[in-house]
Amino acid sequence: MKYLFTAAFSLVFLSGAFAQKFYTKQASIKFESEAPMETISAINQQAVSVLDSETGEMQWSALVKSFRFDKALMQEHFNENYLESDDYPKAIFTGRLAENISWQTDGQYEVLVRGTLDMHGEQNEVEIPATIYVRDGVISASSAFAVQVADYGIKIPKVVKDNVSEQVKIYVQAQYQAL
Amino acid sequence: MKKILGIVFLLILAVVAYGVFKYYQPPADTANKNADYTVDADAFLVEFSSDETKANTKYMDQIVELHGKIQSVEKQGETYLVQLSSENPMSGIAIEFQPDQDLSQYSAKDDIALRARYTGYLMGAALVEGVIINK
Repeated sequence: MKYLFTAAFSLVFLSGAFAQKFYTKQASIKFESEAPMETISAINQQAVSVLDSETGEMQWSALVKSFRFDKALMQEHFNENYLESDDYPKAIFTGRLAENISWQTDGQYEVLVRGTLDMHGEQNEVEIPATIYVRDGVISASSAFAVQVADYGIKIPKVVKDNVSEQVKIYVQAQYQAL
Repeated sequence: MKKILGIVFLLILAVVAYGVFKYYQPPADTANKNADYTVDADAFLVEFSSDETKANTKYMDQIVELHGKIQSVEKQGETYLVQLSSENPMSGIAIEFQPDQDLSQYSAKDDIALRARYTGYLMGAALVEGVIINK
């Protein structure tokens, strides 16, 4: 896990000498848990994302401890009880665009990204809908999808089942710059 | 008997009040925390390039006071994000400031001193809950 990001990052960037590579260190990832009693949300604006426009490979990586909550107690529970960030400090998605995009042509492209989401020590194959924007040579991306926390080994105690949802919505956004 | 009931009631009230206070308590303000380490940004990065694992363990969740030069500053949502200068684009220091921090007067190449909590290393060191301590 510790070297997974470095290895995957190297794979994306060192393959293909003429590939077009883009990256950002300020991608945002927001999650939202809507339960009957309350809605909990947090945001991480320091996620790293890399994109190889030639191969369509894409990677996102976020530090779990960088998620910002409005309430200290929620932040503490998120890190200590649910995501166990001391043991699993990063969440990583590695995937590839399922469709080809005309990177030289301005436009908005609705695509699917297939890959593996690695979180809390569990890896799952996922297919995520995303929108890629190309405008004046600037590439940005956004996506909204949902994950079942049980798929990632995260248990919600019965006593808080009305406070924490079993399904969490995730919103991501990135504006890339050329490497 | 009434006295005992009164004391029990007050105790329950105190516990409930403490619970409500804890529940709604916002994350602690970094401005009120002392720095665990004070270090120059370049020296901070050298520690990671020398031994990332050791530096990561040393600084994890610690409050770090950093002195460096701004490479970029921008507001994203309700917080400012700052990158400190680094020769290597694959490295560097990224800080997200607390929502109450106004960095509108800062720009690239400005010197800055800040305090923030270290959260890990991706394409560089990441810190959150930053506060300005000069200017």
